[in-house]
Amino acid sequence: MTGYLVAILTFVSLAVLIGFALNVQWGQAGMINFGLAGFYGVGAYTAAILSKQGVDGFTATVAAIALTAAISAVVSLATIRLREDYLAITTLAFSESVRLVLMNETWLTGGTNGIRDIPRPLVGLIGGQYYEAFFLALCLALVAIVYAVLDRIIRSPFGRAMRAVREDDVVAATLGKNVLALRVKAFAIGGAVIGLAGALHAYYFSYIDPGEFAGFITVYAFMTVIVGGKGSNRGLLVGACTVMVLLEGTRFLKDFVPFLSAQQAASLRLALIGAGLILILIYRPDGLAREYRLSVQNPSRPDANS
Amino acid sequence: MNFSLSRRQLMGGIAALPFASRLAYAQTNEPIRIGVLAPLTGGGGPYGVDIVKASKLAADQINAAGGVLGGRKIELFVEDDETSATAAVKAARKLLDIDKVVAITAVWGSAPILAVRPLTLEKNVVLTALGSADEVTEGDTKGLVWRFQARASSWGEPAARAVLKGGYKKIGLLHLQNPFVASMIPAFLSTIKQGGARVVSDVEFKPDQPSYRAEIEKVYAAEPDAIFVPGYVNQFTSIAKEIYRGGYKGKVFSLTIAAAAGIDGSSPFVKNVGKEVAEGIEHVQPISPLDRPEYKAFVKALGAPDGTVFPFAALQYDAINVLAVAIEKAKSANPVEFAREIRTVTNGPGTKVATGAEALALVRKGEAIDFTGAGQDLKFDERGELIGRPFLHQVIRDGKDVIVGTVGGAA
Repeated sequence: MTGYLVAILTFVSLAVLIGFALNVQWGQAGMINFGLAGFYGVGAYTAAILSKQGVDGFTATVAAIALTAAISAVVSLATIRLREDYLAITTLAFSESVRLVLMNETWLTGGTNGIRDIPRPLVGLIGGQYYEAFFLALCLALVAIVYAVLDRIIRSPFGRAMRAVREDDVVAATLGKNVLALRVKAFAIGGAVIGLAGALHAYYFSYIDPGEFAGFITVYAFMTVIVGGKGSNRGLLVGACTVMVLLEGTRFLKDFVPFLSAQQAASLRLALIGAGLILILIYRPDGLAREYRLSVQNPSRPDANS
Repeated sequence: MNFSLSRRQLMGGIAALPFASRLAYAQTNEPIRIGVLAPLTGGGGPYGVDIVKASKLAADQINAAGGVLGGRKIELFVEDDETSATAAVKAARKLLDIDKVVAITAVWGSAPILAVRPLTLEKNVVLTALGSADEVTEGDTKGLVWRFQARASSWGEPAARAVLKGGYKKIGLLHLQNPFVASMIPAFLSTIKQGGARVVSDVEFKPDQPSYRAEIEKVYAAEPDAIFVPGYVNQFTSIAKEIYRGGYKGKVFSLTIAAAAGIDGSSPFVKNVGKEVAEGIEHVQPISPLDRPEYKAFVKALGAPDGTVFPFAALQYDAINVLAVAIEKAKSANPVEFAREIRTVTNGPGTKVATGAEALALVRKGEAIDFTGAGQDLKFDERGELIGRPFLHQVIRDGKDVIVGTVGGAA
């Protein structure tokens, strides 16, 4: 039981990290990223390939973060000449390209067979028995750190500028903001967080293959952000838990309906997940929480007047 | 700040995670819990239903015959691996930590197997796999990983024998670049050479190409009498069409997973390419010998028409039976102990028995047995590898599969 809970909470932490990234890119800066899975794959494969080469876990993770952030910045440059909606298509195409590279560049990625036995960081020090718990603690700590950092960014003048660009980029440009630079930075910040999540994914599963970095990761991330409340990182924590309850809770439900065949139960489970989401969106269309907003009701914040 | 969310709500959300979990009670007569982690949705979906049905059939028969270890029943816990590594890991965690299974069976496809394997090894639980990738049984398996399927590298020899049977001398090889296919190539080449034929062209293709024309021209440039095209159904569909359109002469061989027409011509391959293109294509794959009485009995008990080919379900049926018999033999439901008895009950020497119930009765009496399953006469090597898997050689006639014969028992 404990082992299962630890595993589920680790999955929730990963989902929260991806959600944070999407919340910066889409929630704050208004840039739709339909290629999350591809960026996630870049992070995971970077960490996995470097670790297999004997690079230590910390360095490999930093490299994964840096590379994913850099690639995100480059992809977001597509917005120079395209309307922002087209970023959705660009990112989708990017994610597909990543998948093809992962599948075909066998010398680097192992092709469809994936990479297995990825060395887990510090496993010798912690020992196999407590590693799962250690890994969860590591993930939770990283979630806390990323939350704190993003919170500062969102509340900073840079965060306000990001939201201004999201609401109306022409107005932001008229006010002297460099819209392109803001977008590239926002996308790179999100990319860095996705890279971190990807690296953690590789270490947790210690096995990755191209099939895992498919569209459903993107879909779950959007679910998490929409349920949690677009733009709100605190709501996201609840959103990720809610989505995981839907995903995993339905697993137990079928143990109580013995009259269904295995495949009916499996299909019903997927249907229930969809129904749950629809209900949430009907009764809480803006998600469970709202984005950070300056408000006269709460004048205690010193930065509220800046 | 207007957060509508309190810390209490947050904790409530986390606490609600395992809201419907069932607790395991320690009882002396508690059932033996076995996990069935089958592909019910996703790419393996078409096979999953039969795999689960076959598992339930085996468990019901064993329980009707009095169960194991003095009346303990076999209880199955079915989970969907969604044919994905990530989903398989989540489901396996639930099976291992909450259902406390002694074995996870039926895992299909190399990605889910390789992802689940470290978890079962860590918990010292038996893993039986229905996938072919060589890596499944490689490395330290602690004697806990058992493959109820032919290893990928053993596919090459029977495929070559099927080609040689037609008397072809100049063979072209057009194969998918993929580890599963790559591992069958060396044996294919050496068998062709030993059979007095020669491989005149060897061309690789990649999955998801928009066209395979360049590769096809290259393989036919050396004018082979027959070509062998191992790959999956989506690529083989395009390749078969382009070969037909190009008007190339010569026999085409492939794998049944790619080129199966089905006994009633209902396969996606024939539907997509049409009867004319499919006519005369021959294909090979490890399969249960359809005329074995044990297999016929299994097909009947499953309620399917005589002659139905189950690529995976028969071996999963055998896997549940073998585990039950091994548990009885070891007098223990401890996976490390009963895994040691798997080879004892399947490889013999001992009385040949075909059903789980008969095998259990003899083992209870303390007799040595040699369990022969529905899928084949089961034999394992010391790495947990199923050996002697027969291969079925079929040809497509008028849009339907016609059996040519069996080739192999490959080692």
